[in-house]
Amino acid sequence: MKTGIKKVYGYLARFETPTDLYKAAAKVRDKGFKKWDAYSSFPIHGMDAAMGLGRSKLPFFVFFGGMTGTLTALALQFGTQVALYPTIVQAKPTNLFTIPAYFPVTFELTVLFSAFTTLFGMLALSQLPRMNHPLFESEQFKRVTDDGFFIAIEARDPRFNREQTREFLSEIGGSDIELVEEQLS
Amino acid sequence: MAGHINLKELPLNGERFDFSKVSRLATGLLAVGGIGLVASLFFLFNEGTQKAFSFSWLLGTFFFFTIAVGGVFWTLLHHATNSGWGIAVRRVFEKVGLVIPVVGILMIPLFTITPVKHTLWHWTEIEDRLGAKAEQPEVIAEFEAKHNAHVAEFAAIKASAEAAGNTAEAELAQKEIENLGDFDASKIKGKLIKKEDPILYGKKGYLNQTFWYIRYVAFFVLLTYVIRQMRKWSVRQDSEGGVKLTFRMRRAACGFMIIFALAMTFVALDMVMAIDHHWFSTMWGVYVFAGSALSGMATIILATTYIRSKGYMKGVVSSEHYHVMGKLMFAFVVFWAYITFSQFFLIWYANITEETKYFLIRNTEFWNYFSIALVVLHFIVPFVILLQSWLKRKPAWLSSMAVYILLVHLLDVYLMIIPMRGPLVAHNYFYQGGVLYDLLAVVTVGCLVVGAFLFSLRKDSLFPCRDPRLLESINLHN
Repeated sequence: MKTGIKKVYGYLARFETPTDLYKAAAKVRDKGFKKWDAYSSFPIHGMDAAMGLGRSKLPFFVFFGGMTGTLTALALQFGTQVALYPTIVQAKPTNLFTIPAYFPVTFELTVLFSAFTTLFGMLALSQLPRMNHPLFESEQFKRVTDDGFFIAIEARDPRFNREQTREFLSEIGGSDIELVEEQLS
Repeated sequence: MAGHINLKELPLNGERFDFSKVSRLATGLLAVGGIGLVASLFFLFNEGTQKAFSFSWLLGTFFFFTIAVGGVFWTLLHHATNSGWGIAVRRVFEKVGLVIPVVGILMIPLFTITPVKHTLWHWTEIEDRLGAKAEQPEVIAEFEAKHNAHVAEFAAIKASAEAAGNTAEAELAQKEIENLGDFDASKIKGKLIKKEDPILYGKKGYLNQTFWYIRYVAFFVLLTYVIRQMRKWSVRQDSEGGVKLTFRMRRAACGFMIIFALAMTFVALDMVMAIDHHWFSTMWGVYVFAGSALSGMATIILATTYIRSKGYMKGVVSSEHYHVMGKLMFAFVVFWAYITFSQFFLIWYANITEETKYFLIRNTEFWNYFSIALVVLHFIVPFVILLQSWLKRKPAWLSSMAVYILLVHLLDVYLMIIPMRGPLVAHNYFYQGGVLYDLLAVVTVGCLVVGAFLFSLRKDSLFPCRDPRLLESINLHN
């Protein structure tokens, strides 16, 4: 038996079908919980709305990432080809009207910077990569990759209450409700 | 997940459009179109106006051709990709495409009125003029004399070489005589064209009037056949049901797609690119296609909204369908910009004389404002607006964007055709009252085409009521 300091992570409840999970998630949302999540082995249509998730912040970052790419490309090309060392090719102008020549690079750098911002922004917003998650302490949680559908309400949620939350989870149809404890040392 | 509709909530035999609701509008449109058509024909036959008006009539018919062919494209693509989302709106696709024969008939004056044909497609004028010249007896006699002189010249060389015992030279001269052969009067026209316009001579295998007429008839007949056949099967499914016709339509659509691609591309080349037969662009077909698919989708959105405003298809088409159609319209705004820029960029960079002609006219002086406006209005503005996902789910907003797209597409087609009206290409905006003619032509063709569309609503159900995947489409979620 493991000993040491433990911390309550939260309650984990299992549901039989995706439909049960969907309906339960809507009830958890209406109860006003904020720090909680639903777990399934595949995406469920409309789950975002049922969980009351807001719009992702990611597009905001990606927009500025893409803009940085555009400006970088334009600055690089205008700086070298117009300001520092103008090269006249096939009587093409070296001023603002050269811009068609800069489009491909500008487009590509915009896409590249947007892609990098999307990838790293997504990792940062979902706090990845991480070594472990407290829910892996639970034996039954292994079923989440196969036929288990779970809702976990975390203890750090201000509405969390040891008795009431447990009752609430069984009320909305959860079974095998388990108090997950995180091993700190 | 919410709001599932099951078959019991749908009318068993689909919804039929009550034509009396729009009969006044339809007959009104046809009446206005008829009056416009009479005026247009007057302008086309009147010697003073036909030069300016022929460009207007091409603008009007070609603009609605791109829209109708867009309807054909979406019908075929929908079947070929076996998509489920659009079954609820499939009939609208078909009905937008069904106006193809109307446009084809309205284009006939352009080919049959000789001065109009000669004004629009200068190469036909060259061909007719030199063809007539090649048949004059004095020209034939002149060419025959030249031919005989050539033959006599080589015969003399042969005789003197034989006398000197130079067999090699005699053989060469004999070969030349054989190459010249007998006098052939049918080759005179080719020689005349080669002398006057070597570029046209180089393209004569494609750009000759016989082949040109055959292409025009063949492609309009084929397009009409394709869209009518697709609709026939679709309507037959309303009474038969079952998956058999779904599979047949899918298989046929893949083959019909080839016909569509060829027809659309070659009509675009023959009608618009051939206005300046020296100019060519290998991107032209794709460029016109991008505009067609975009404006076709805009028209489908508008038609769906119109039919819904009359109280039909309420339970069938939801904001989810609008979202998908909006996304497709957005995608083709970007595709259009991509193709248009590619065409401009390749020509700008390569700097080949016979390619730059198009943009020399459109990117200098007066027309330059139009070109710059096109970049802003046809790409930047709709790109930024259509990026919003909430907007695509609101029929009223999306329909106003569809109207906007059709207007800028009109500007796009205007820039394809009208700058060639001449004679001072850079300043011909009001050339012989041009812009009023353009309006008349667009309104006339528009009234006739929209009237025909409203009449086509009369028949069968407004959605394929016994398609096996209808419920999947109605309960679409994205």
